[in-house]
Amino acid sequence: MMIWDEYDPASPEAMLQFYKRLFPYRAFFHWLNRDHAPSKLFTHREFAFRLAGDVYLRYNSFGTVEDFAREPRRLNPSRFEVGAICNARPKDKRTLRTGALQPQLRELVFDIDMSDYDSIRTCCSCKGICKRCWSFIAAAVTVLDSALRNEFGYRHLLWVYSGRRGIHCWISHDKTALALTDEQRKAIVGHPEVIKGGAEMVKKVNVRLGTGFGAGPLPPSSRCVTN
Amino acid sequence: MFNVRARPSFGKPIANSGDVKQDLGRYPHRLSFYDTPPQDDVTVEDFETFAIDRLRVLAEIESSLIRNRTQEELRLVTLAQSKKYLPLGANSASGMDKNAERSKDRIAERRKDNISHFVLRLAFCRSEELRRRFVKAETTLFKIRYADDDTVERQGFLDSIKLNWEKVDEEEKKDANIKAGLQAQGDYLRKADYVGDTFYKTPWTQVPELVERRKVFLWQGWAYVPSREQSTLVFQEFQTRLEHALEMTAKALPRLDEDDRLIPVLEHLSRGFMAGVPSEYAGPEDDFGETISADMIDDLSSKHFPLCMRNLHDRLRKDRHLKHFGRLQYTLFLKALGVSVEEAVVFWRKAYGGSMTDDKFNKEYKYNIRHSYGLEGKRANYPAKSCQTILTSNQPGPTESHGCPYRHFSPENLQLTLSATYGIPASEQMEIMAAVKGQHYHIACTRAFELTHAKYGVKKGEGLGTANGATETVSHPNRYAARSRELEKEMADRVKAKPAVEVKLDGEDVVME
Repeated sequence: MMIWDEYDPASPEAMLQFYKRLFPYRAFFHWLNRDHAPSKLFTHREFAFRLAGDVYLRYNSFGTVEDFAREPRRLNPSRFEVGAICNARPKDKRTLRTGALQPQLRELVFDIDMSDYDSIRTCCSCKGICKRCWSFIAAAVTVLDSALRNEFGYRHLLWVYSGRRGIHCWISHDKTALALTDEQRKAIVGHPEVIKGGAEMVKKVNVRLGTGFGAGPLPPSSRCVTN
Repeated sequence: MFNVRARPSFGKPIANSGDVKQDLGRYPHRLSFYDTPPQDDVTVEDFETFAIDRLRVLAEIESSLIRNRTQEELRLVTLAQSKKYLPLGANSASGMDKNAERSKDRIAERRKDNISHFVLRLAFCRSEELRRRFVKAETTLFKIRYADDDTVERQGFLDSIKLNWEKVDEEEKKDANIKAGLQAQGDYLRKADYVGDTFYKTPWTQVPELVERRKVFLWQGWAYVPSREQSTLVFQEFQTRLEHALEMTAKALPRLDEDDRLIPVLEHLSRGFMAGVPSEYAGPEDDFGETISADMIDDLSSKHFPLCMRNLHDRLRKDRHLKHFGRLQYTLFLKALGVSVEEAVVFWRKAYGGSMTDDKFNKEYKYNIRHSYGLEGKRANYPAKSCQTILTSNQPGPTESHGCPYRHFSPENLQLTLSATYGIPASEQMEIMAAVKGQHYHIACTRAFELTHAKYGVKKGEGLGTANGATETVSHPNRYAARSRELEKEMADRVKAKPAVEVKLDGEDVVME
């Protein structure tokens, strides 16, 4: 039996219990599939499993939620990833000719990582996080959530703790989001971006148009935020 | 797409547009996104001539772009060329309800515009290169026509095309969020009276570049685009749609089920695009008042001939011989220049000189010369070869001198020849060599013309002269020669008109200078 003091949630034993008893396979399936009966959004979706020792198993796909539930219980991966929806079932990849399997739809996910704030946080560093520096994440979430809802019109946002030191936002339930091109994704990320310039730039926040002292007013999105 | 199974018929007249007071049938607007291919019958003749006329306009645009003309020059040149070959009048100018004739003209113009566009789509969809050039030229033409339209017409056109836009009405603008947002955006962009403009909303996914650069106000997934940003969007849309359509056309082309009438026309058109403007040389417009004798040709060659013919002449003099295609190309050129068959025979006889007997000459060469003049055999009057023909047919072999030097000489040899024959210094040669590298041989030749005729006052960018604002580039060797002689004659006339002695009245005295 495990003693609470020594309990490590990331240990393989704990993970196995998690996969066996706690992981919400059916809810997960409904969320990805957006429907009750399995559709291409699920059956043609690639899953990748990471095993101990950094072994990566790609091109898995499942026809039903039962098949899906069996796999993590069998493999006990340290993590697994949800991939793109392809034009064929990824598990059939070997039977298809090279290049035939192509991703068609991809989830729109925003990933905010604490390490991006390393230059301005003083309480922790590297992998550490605490209540203080988490406020940065909270601020980012407020901004992004408001922008995605008000400006871009997305209504179903799933914010989840990333597992380590950040947060993910999955835009759910929206078919158009799945179909966004690279250019469009670049736009949606670039839109609220106010930090420009790499490691060598000192003042990176350049929200206002116009240079120097004649700096103009804030863009509408930033206004909402400052208010 | 053309309904390729419908055989084009001969000579079917344009359908009457019916009631004049109504709109112009299938062509209510001057501008077009060319979404609908022509549905009616087209004669094979129209198929070709319409396309050739459009090609003249597009080639002129391409030529201007390559020569880096200013926007204004490009616009004027294109409008002039369009007026000549592809006129496209506005609705408002027609006085529609009064003049039935005018609206019939409009329909005819727009029909021609429509048909010619689709024919050229067929001709240019086949290679990546041709598609790119076609799209560029067509988009530029569209931009120029768009800018030229008056606001009312343009609005009508925009309303008609099914772009993914909705006009933002005043009610919506009063909404608190929208109002505040637009105001903030206006302040941010530092534009006065931003809110007063007309706005169009479109899904933000349609304008990612504007979104990324924060150029537009976003609300609930809609981007609020002011009308001034609209034109860029329209052009982008035009280009995207055309690119897409061309790809579709290229895929469908192998399945073109037709007889032998159209394919040769399409081939001819795509070759024309390569050489510049295709044209038939109709003989010298100006009679220079003297028949050309065999002895005059040496002098004429050094003064007026384009490089291809100069090269043939020099080779003939040097080797006392030319191979078949060289002789053919040169003979036809001389014929179009105005050399009579008798003089031609004399010229060639002397050129071959003592290297052969009279007898041999008469048997082997005289007949061919006469044949070229249409006096033997089937008596066909062969036209002098245009640049396009010279560039594309009968590529010269190692011992041959015909063809186009800009294409068929190695760059080093070409540069040597330009220095030796025309005395063009290396500094000026850069532009010519750049044109050669880009395979724009007619531009190279035109530049050479400009440089060698600077003494007649020809300036850079003037080409073979401007008529109605359109600059002519070299498309036929005889045109080069004719223009050159014209310039010489004009200069001579000016000198004659100017008195040799200036007589001024200075007070009571007559001062002669």
